Amino acid sequence: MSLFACKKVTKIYHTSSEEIRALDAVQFTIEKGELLSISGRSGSGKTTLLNILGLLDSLTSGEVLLDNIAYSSLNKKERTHIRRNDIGLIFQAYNLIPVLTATENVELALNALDKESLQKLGILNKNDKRDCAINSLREVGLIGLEKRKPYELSGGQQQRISIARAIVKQPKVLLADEPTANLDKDNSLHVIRLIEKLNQEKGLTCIYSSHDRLILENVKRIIKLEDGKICSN
Amino acid sequence: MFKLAFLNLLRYKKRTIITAFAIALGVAIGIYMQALLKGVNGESERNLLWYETSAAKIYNKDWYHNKEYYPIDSLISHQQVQGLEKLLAENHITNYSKEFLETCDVSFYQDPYTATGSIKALIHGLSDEGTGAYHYAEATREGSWISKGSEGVVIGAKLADDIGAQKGYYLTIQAKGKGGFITAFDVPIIGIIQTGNPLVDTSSLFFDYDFISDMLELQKDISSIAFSFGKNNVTSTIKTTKKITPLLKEIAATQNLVAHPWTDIAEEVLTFAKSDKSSAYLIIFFIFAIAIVGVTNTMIMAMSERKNEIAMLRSLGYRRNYITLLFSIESGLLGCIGSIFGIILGLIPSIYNQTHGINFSGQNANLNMGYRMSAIMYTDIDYKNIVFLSLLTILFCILASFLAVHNATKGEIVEKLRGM
Repeated sequence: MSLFACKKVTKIYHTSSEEIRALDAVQFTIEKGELLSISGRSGSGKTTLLNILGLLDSLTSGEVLLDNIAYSSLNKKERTHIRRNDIGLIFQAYNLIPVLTATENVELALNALDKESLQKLGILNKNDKRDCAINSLREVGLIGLEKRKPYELSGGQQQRISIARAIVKQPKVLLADEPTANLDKDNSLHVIRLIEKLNQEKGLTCIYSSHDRLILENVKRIIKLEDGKICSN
Repeated sequence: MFKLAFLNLLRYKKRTIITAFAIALGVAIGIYMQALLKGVNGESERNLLWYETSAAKIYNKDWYHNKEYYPIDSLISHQQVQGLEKLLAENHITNYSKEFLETCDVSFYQDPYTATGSIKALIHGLSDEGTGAYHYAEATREGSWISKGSEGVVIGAKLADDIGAQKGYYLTIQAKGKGGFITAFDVPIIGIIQTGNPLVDTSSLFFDYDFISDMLELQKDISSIAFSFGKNNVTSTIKTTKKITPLLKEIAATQNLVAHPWTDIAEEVLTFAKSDKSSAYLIIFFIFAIAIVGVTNTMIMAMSERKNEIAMLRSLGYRRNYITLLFSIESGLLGCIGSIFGIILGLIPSIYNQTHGINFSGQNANLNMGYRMSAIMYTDIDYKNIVFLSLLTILFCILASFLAVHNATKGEIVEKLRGM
């Protein structure tokens, strides 16, 4: 059963002098529980595609379906709702809030959820929320560092907080944009193994956007883009 | 949300301190200027009521119309006075003084004075020592105040200082009597008063009414009847005057006279004070505006620096309203911190000057800014205004950040991420 279905997805950016076709009628499906990477050189459109899947950007034409819900039919509120509940995002720059502890950063994702979603996760009060965040940190191997602030942690540890933040709400899909770009080899492998584990043990669909060889060697499927078009799948 | 907003302020300590300082300075100047204005206006009003206008006066219509010339041919006749006094007694209005006002020439000669010359001055002939309407007696600096039957003159302190007059010295007064004749007479100075009122202190001569009536053959006619309501309390005087003026007008009308409250008599001074107040508020507004521009600038800078943070919050599913609120709280807290420091900064000099005053006489001994007050200015803190100013500051800070954040949260999330 496919989680994502992309039909002739096209994205055109307009600059003052020219029209840039970042994605050109891209078409593919992604099944539930897949671990794959969208790869390609810089400017090939891989991040644009990931942003469109993650509802961070809109598409010019075509259609994306997530669990048979068409993105084009969604209004702003519904897009926010899906982003809040169903999509976990990992950024290259971690994007953690420096004044908050590791636990508080993870809790940020829970604070955005409405009552109904929290109840589904078994969260009824503040303590449950804290426990849930700590469990998520445990899953990424950061137990004992819950009270540390991001600047007191290494790059790999910070990226693991961002993974904990992405998975704490139990999303349908994890989208990781160049998650190892700022990390050394050991930390990169650590992050890759962690995402692999989440995919295998929890059946979480994980999609990378990366040209990191370490990532490409550890995924089961690669969608390769060139000039906004799929050149291999 | 409050915790995060507060932590974010601590995160940018330097910027928070600089912006809070700008706000504090704006609030402090606002508080101090308001206190100074209130003090100056309050003192000016008290001075007017005690030494110049009294609470209200009854005049002959023509006299009031030409009041700047002090016309001796438009006085209130003795008969009219008697009629008025009867009605005033019936209405239990007892605090008043009958007065005569006229310009005159005062001549003084070297030895004992420091120079020979003459100046224009204003004669005040007061019945009942003026106690029914004024507070002159309390302002005596040297000698004594006029008393019933006294044949001397009390002069203003500034006038005395200018000509080198002292108690016991004689002045030659040349004035016009009723009917138009010119008369001159010598009178000893029996006292010197210092009221802080530039007009009184620089050019007024006070006589017992009976004495001046004899000298100028007034036949008990007077220029006006001056009233006082509420005695020492300025606020209650102002309130009572407002209430009692219609009755006074009715009483005056029975004798074909007119009654005017102090606000009419001192219209020019009050208009000047009002325009002065407006310009002071304009200054406060500009200072305030600079502080707000500082806050807006800080928030815009913060927005551009924290674009990725905003994008991250939106990608987590936070609504624009939530993010706007978060930053607005941050800005509101900044306004709070600035206001608290501003209140402290503004209150210290305001409280000090409430008791010590600021003496401007050193810079300019002839200081006369139109206000009826001495060269020492006292502040009068308006606590209601402090609360209002602080709330306004916080509100403006919130609004300033609202505009900045609202723009920063517009558009696609990816646009903000790309700007990282």
